[in-house]
Amino acid sequence: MAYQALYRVWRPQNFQQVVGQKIVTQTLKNSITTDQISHAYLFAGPRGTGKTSCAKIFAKAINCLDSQDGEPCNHCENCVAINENRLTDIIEIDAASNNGVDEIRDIRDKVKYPPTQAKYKVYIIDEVHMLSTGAFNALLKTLEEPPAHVVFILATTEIQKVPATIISRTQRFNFRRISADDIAEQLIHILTEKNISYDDQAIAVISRAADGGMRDALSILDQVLSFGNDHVSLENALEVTGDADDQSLAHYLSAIFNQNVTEALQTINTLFADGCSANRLIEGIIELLRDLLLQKNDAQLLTQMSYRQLDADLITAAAQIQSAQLYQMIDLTNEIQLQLKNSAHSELFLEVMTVKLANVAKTAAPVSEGAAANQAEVEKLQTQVAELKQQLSKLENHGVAVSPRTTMPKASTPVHKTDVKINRQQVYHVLENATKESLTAVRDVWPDLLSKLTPAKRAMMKVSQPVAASADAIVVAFTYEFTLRTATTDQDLQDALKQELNALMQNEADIILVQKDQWPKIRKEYIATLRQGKTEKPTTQATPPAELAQPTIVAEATKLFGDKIVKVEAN
Amino acid sequence: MKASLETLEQHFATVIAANELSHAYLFVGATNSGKMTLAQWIAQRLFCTNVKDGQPCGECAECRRIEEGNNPDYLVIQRATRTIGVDEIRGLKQELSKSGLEGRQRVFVIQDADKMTPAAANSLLKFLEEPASQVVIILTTTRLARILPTIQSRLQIVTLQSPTLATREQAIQQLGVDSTFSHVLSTTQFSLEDIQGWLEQVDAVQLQQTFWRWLTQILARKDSAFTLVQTQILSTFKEQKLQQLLPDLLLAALSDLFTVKFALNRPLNWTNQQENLQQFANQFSTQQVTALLEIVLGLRSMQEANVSFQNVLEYTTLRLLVVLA
Repeated sequence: MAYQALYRVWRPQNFQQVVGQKIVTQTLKNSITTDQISHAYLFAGPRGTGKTSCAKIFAKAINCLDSQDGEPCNHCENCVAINENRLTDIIEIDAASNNGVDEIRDIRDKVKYPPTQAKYKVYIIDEVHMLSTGAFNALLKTLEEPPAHVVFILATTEIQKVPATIISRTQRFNFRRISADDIAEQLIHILTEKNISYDDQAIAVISRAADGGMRDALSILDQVLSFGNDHVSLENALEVTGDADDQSLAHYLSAIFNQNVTEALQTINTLFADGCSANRLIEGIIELLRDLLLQKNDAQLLTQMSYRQLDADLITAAAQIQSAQLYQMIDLTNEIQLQLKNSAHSELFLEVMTVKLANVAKTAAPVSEGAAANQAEVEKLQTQVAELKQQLSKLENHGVAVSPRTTMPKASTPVHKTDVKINRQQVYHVLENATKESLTAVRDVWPDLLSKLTPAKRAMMKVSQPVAASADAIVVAFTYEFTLRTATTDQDLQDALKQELNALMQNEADIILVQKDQWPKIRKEYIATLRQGKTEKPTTQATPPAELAQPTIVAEATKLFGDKIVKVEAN
Repeated sequence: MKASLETLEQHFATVIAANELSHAYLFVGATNSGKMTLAQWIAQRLFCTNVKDGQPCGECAECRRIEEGNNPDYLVIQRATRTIGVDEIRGLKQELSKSGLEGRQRVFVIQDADKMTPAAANSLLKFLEEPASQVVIILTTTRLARILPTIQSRLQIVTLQSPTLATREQAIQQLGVDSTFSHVLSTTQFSLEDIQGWLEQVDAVQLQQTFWRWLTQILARKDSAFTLVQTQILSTFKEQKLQQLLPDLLLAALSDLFTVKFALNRPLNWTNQQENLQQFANQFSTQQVTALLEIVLGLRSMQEANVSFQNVLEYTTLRLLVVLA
């Protein structure tokens, strides 16, 4: 006896065995018990959901000599004959190969002869969407008023191709996709019957990859079984379906969220080399993005709707991403999935997608910062710009001989021995001309710039970030003072940075290095300087000057010990 | 499931030994990845009279007849035309309903099953699900997405790894092509005969020069690239086969640009253009490089939609220039 595919062996033989179509089977059973059998049925639904199986069971049930509750007995003469495909009254027609008018005429002619053995003559017309228009129309009259002993069952995956006139003459049953849970349950049932052990996760992978089709699930299971010695392992399941494991996917998305394009590209290339199918990869990514979206909006819902545990690192990485960006990413991934169908270069498509996804993660990042910044700050900046303008015109009028800016900053500079010397003049100059647009532009190219440096330099610059930019210079802040000091002394690095930046931005901008902790202070001082330049005017700005004058060391001490203990004494 | 030809032969050897061979398979893989070899191996394994260690001997009469295509129980449907119509499938189905002429088992192969028209594919559905006699049906394709989902769900899908190109590259070199170009050609879908066919008509060196002159002008943001399409490219890439080659060359070059830009750890296609590409990569932003690649990826589908070659090229040139401007 030749080997039979699982989906053939486990084809349901009665309504109860049909998985995931409760409504359909119940209705059919009821119609049999109450003796309300219609003369024409139309079974529609996606592949592998049980249309043909139900048609066969129904044909059996109405002809069964010993039918119980609408179920066929599978023992009586008729049932056995039907199971063995030798009852001539059940006529299964493949509409895809018999799609012409002639074949339908043939049916029409033979319909009037009564059944030979069974009670009903059942015509099962499978793949009915392939009938030609002429054939459909030839069928209309027969379908509307067939002799009492005839039942038509039409089955199709593509209901939209069936004319409305056919649909209106039949009772239509919609077969739904089978839920992953139902598929998993059936798989487990089969494996238990066959006495084969399995990994729970493997079952989850298979039932997900089956995409609502029981036959798909069983085909995959068949293949997994032929692969691995009587045990359904996760590894084999992943290999057969071409799915990526959850960890790699999480790693990939984290890299994208952190805008680490190179890392993401490497991950996807490794996955591809390991045999993942591009299509399954994209589907995995979409699912993961959806899960993140759920997690962002309602973590409770996630546990209900998803079988997988979200990686903690991924959640952290996704914190900086907004829902709108996730939507955008899902759209983009979907689009690539469609394009993928027409191309043999799926690897390149995935790479393009990776860069685009990282771009989505990037572009909105400054915006989110802007949204987070409070309105007051924006107003403050606006007033500052107005003040700056005034000052500029004043300077133009009175000359620059005794510019307060050259003396004042020194007065208010806090005493901080370890400070790397910062060229405040330069920084102020940048701040004077700084615009949001130039900053965004610089931040845009920053990762590109970094990727061009040698690894050692890149490692050093990893902890830095552009914080202000004007047309002719940018200010870069370092998180650690140590790196700042190394960077300031490293002329080589500075040259390389400037050269790359100029190439990317196509301008002649200088680079000024500062420390991140100090940056807010420098900015404040700059504002203070501005204000001191025009003390006559009453200021409505928030920050009191006293606080500004307070050196950071004092502020730090106060933070540590509380202001009751710390006393500031001038000596 | 994705594996190399050798691994798969091993796999099927165990499957057949355990009598678990399914009735229908779909072999997916790039051209030259050995889909037909595997199909033939299965047939030989099933029919061979002298199986040793699960491997067919390759010498007995059965094995030889299969190799020569003389075994009536091993039937290959293979069409040079663009589609496989419903008539051909009908012919196959008649054969399918008969039992083996000599043995009990029969093996049918439909090569490039994606060529099947919707009608043809649909008419195969019922037979794929429950073939009447004892048969193994093998479909092969290069693009899984082109196969109807209803067909896919009836088959066991086996993906073959892309072949190592070293031998192919050598074979092309022996036709008198320089090493870089033969490396690029080895990654394309064209058969050795095809390549030999062009070489009789055009000079490989000149072909490369023209191509790179055009591409360099595009990358250098020179509008004159547009006129090059009419003056040089069209006259050089005259043959229809050559016209199908151009998108592959372009794709190879731009994916190299991408590789260089992101410093990916993989060999270039156009190894001799590394410096050239590096220079351009420095000038472009990552977004630009990605956009270029994306445009070129869409080229093939334009050609398949029967847009004329000149239009495709002109349109592409302009779009590439716009991205770089």
